[in-house]
Amino acid sequence: MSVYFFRMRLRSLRLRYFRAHADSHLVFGPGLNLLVGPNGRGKTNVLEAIYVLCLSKSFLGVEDRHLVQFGRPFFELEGVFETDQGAERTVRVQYHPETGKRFWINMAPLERLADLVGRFPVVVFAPHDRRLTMDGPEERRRFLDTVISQASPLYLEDLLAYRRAMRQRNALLWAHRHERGTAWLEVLEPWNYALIHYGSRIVWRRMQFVEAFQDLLRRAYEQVAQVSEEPRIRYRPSFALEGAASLEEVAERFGTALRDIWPLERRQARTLLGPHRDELIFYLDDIEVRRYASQGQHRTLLLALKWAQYAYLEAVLEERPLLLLDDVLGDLDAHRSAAFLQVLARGGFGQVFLSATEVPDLAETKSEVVVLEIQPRVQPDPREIDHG
Amino acid sequence: MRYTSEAVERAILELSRLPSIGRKTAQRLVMYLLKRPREDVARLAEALLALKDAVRFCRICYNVTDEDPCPICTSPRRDRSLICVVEEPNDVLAIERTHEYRGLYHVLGGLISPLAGVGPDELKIRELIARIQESASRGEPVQEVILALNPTTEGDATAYYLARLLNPMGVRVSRIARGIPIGGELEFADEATLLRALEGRVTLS
Repeated sequence: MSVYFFRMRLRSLRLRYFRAHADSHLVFGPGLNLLVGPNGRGKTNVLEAIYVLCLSKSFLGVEDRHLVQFGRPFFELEGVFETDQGAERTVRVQYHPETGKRFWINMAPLERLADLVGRFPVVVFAPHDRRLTMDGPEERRRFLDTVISQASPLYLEDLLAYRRAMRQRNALLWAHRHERGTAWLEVLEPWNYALIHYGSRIVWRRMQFVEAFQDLLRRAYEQVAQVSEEPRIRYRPSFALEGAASLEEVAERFGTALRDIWPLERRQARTLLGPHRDELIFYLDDIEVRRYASQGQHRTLLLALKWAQYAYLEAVLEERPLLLLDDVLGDLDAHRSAAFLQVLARGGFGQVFLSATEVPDLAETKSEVVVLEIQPRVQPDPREIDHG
Repeated sequence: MRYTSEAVERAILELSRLPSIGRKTAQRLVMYLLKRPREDVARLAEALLALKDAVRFCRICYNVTDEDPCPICTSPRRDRSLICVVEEPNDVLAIERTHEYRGLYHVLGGLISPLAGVGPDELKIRELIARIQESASRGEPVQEVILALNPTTEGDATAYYLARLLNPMGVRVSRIARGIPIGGELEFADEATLLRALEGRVTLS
């Protein structure tokens, strides 16, 4: 059975005053694109730029103002996307400290950044991602949000509304922290409602996602691991969900838990329950990865998570996401790196962007490979001109 | 850089206090005003002062008006059993432009937002309750309150708060639907709007 995937690819990219790039113009091929050059010359920045065009921010968690090349007033990116039906979408983003970040799609201004997310699906795999299996729950919540937001625009809406409701609720709890009376609780009620309303929608989505993702992860792990271990994910929301089988039941559980924890929330004057306190736990054969896995297991699981993320978006959107691979060969020995490139070249992926310090041996890959030397022109530092 | 004229500097400072006007725009406006004849500038100054001197808030609906109560509240052609609750006077203008709505209004003057220090007491909520109670005792009770609040988190919370207050009073409470703009074709609606519209779909029978 062959499934038709809608294809969207990035044809070209222009970077202006973006990180290491004063003015670069790159033209990409439809398959594997190798970004090659010495370290510190801006390979990762090209991947970052592509990610900004797709999801409006850097995957490194960098603030917008730090994306501007040092000493320059603004940055601007322009990417030309193209579908296999010939439709073209030019995405332009401009950031200026005074006006903030603004997007245009085919010249029309985009009113809300949230409307961008999911239009150009993307999966990134960078050294930074190690935190996903090793660090605290925040990284895993970000993983959930990045994947589900791209698959469902409403999830992102709910997430933004939830954060807003939580901030409002926290402000109220804080303002009344010394108050003895109970009259103000009537004012808290609408924020409890908003918290539960949006929060339970997020939890419900995450539940469904983890259920669907389980199988994809298992299959991806089989492909990348040499040993037969079984990966498993457990979604652990901040309140007991056992037996909740509908959105209404999730909301009910959330409401009950919120009532139970009230004395503590009152004392700490902040919201203690909800999706912002969720945890996602990875296991390999019932061994908790974060605590007990070896370095090798961490690496393998991470790769499998990324492959599964790709497969999930591909299946839901019926479209191949762009795949950004930042310096992944650096971690692998020659043999593994060749095997990895073979997997990429075997197809099954759409457009791939891979950064590397040198051109790897591609003798066995058959698909079309485009090699781009990333070596932005060295321009004099503007400060030196000033003092010249 | 500062201007050598204190008057210019002061005008720029005052104008740049206005919403959505930055210092650069303020400078441009001041340079423009400097070149205008004196009577033009005087007209603008008078218009601004008249805002505070002549305009008042209607004691019934809290819309801006020159006469108190406002012409909408005193109009005999209005349906007094229907109140549309809005955030700001501009929203009244927007709904009036439809020429379809024949009920009355109530302007809250904002939305509940603890982050901005706005609670129910800062809004005209108590006044709305009193108004509904009074309408019942006068023998022409309000039957329905339409909440025409923006579809934001604060709009949701304010609507919820109002519904909880109004429901026990035996008033029907409704909220305007959210969905696809007319003339905006489905194809071009953003996905979130489209999904909300799907969620709020109505049965045809």
